[in-house]
Amino acid sequence: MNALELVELSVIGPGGPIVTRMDLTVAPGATVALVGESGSGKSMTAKALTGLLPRGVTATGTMRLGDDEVQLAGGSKAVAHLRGRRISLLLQNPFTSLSPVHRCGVQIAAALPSGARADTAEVLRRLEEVDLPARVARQYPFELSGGMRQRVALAASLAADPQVLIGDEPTTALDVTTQREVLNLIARIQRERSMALLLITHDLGVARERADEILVMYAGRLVETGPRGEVFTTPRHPYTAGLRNSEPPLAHRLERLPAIPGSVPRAWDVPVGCVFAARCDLTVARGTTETPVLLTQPGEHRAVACWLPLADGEQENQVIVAEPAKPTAPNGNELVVVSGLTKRFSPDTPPALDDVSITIGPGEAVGIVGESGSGKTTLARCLVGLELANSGTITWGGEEVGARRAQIVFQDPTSALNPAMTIGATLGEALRAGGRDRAEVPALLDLVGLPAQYARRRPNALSGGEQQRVAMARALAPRPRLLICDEPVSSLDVSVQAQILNLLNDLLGELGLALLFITHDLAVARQVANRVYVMHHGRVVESGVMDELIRAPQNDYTRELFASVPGR
Amino acid sequence: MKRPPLTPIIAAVPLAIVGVFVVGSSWLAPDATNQDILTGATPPGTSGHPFGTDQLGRDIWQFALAGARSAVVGPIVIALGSMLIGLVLGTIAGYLGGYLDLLLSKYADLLLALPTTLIALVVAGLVDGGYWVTVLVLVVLFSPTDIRMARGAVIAQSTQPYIESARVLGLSRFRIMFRHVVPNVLPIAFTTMLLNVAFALVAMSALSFLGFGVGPGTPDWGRQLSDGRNLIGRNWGAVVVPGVLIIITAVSVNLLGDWLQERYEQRGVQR
Repeated sequence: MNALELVELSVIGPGGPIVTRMDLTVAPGATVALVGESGSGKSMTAKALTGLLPRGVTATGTMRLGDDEVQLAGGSKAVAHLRGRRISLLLQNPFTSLSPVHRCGVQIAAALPSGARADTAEVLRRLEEVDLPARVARQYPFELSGGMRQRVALAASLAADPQVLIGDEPTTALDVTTQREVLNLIARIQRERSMALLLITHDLGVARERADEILVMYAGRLVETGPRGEVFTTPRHPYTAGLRNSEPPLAHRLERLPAIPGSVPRAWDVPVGCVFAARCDLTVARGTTETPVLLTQPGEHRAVACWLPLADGEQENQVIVAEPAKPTAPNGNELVVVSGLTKRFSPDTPPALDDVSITIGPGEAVGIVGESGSGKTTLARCLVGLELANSGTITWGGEEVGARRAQIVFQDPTSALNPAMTIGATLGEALRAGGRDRAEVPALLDLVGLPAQYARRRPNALSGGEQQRVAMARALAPRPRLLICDEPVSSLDVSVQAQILNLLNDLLGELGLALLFITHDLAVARQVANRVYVMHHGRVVESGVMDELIRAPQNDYTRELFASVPGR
Repeated sequence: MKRPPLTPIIAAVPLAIVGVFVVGSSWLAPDATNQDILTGATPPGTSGHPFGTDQLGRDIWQFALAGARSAVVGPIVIALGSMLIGLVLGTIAGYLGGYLDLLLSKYADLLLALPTTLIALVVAGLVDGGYWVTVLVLVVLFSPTDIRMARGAVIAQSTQPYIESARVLGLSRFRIMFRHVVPNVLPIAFTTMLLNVAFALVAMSALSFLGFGVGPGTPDWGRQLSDGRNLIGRNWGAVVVPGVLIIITAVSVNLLGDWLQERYEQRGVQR
């Protein structure tokens, strides 16, 4: 008998359907990964299964948990007696999913079966299960690191011994090294309890590494399902193929990442036809008028919703490896030399930057790789003058001053643009700041691959990828010699991320400007940077030419970082 | 299809009607101040007077209609005036910071610690009342909450990446303040202003009720309510009509303000 069986789940929101007729089963002890980009409906699926849908959103369909059958149309009440006990949910952000005013022990105890709530020994046993020391019971969530918090959240969601755990991006907010630990922990507990796991993730690497079966979701529908060994190696659906191809590889640098054009539509904007038709190269006439259903492929344990399923090897990624760029030797002609930079935000905490020295040559693409708290963002902010260092020097070569030295692109494109100003006004202002003419706005938009009409729009009428293009255009407007990108793609979907990385590479070639690319993701850094600095706890622990560093990392931390990248 | 939002419609209808009262009172209520002392107070339904007459024989309904102007105009001026002060001082405090911020914040705290209505009463009594004196006093007394609101909003804006981008572009502080910060504070300022209109309406009416504010004989809801107290046995309309008008108007403005605020807060969530 299956631990979780879902028949014809549909979720309807105020704007229209969010999830349409989805079936899934998870066997006891098995892991099924639900993979999709933002807006695919994967989180709403988790909420529907646990009866936690927001107001105005309703679900239909049947859920079976072992012998129990629930009609999801009954809403929160119908699931209440099972939630936490038979099926439990682990959320992305352990800081918001734990109560900030209660000690961790109390929060775990509250989730225990009613008979055991007063049992301190039981709470300690639960903490031990998630590899946490007993002292955590008396601590508040804010006293713990992100990884420890997520362990507490895991202990709480497992307290009533559910047969099914739904992990909704359970490790997305964590650093890769911590992610690995938490995923290993979940896998161990799963084995011990023979618990089923529905793992919801946008990270193909995590899905490939951890799941037995992978379900690919797009715009509210399952487009492909199958065993993990097959879905991404021989995809049948063009979307699955596109998703896999646009994922940057760590092993080599591609000349061009194969991006899927456009962006993910909202489920209710595709009422008829194939949900992927607008972005598909192979659209058949039928795809725009009739919706393909998920059909099991003859002779295979997999299903695909496509009028024209791919054959083995079709849409295979054309790997064109880029020529390794020649490293520029220091020649006294550097664009910027950072020397012994130290920044302390408070005398009680370790310094955010501890004696950091880097150089960037003219036209050079330099990467900085590090986890949260490594100081990489502080370094960027010091370079553009948003922070003042306590000691050390930043020496600029060349004559340019002010806006024409360096510009920065931030992580979150939505908050990077003034919502009250049109795109044209934003770019016009940036052009003026660099001593250029407002009339160049259309040319600037064209440079980042946006139509000139976008000048009249406001940021909220743009998708995340388009907003990030505008943010890049603004940074390029004063013609800076150095472009700093601080995690420019980490809040974008994989398919959009590839577009932005390609654009960045094009711009570097076209404009001959230098790039400082800051990221936590090695594979992403691989695709743009020629030389890289690895940062850890405010220090540069290793640096070198990208290809050599990837081939033979010297530092222990760098090696651990490489080993933690999931699904490679 | 999305359901049309109910709250703003419920709130807008009475406000539109009150707006018509304000603009067209001389035309809608030509006999508002006509006295008929011989008849005096009559109950509702007396010939030609749907809500009866007051002590001086004035028609309750027409008098209330004419009173809309002083009841509504004053609060709007108060909300606008205090918001203007709040935006200017709050933006300076929040954006420039330092000693200026400390000074302005302490000034706002001091004003906040004062009992608003009581001060208004004392000042109005000292300078011998007058509608616009009361309005002016309330402008000053309402401003500290607006200063704080604007200061908080400006500080919240200042850490946004688009403000930091503007700084990296080397734009002047002045330009960043007026092109980037203030336009994004205005939506919150507007909703706060609406809520202030409701508070000011009640405060003004309370002052009029206590005999300050408008002069005798001027149509005004608070004043009318106060005068009507003694008539409650002979004509309940004298109390109910202005009272209900005050409540409906204040509640409608409040509802509209709340709705706008809610929409503004959700703006980031549903794009």
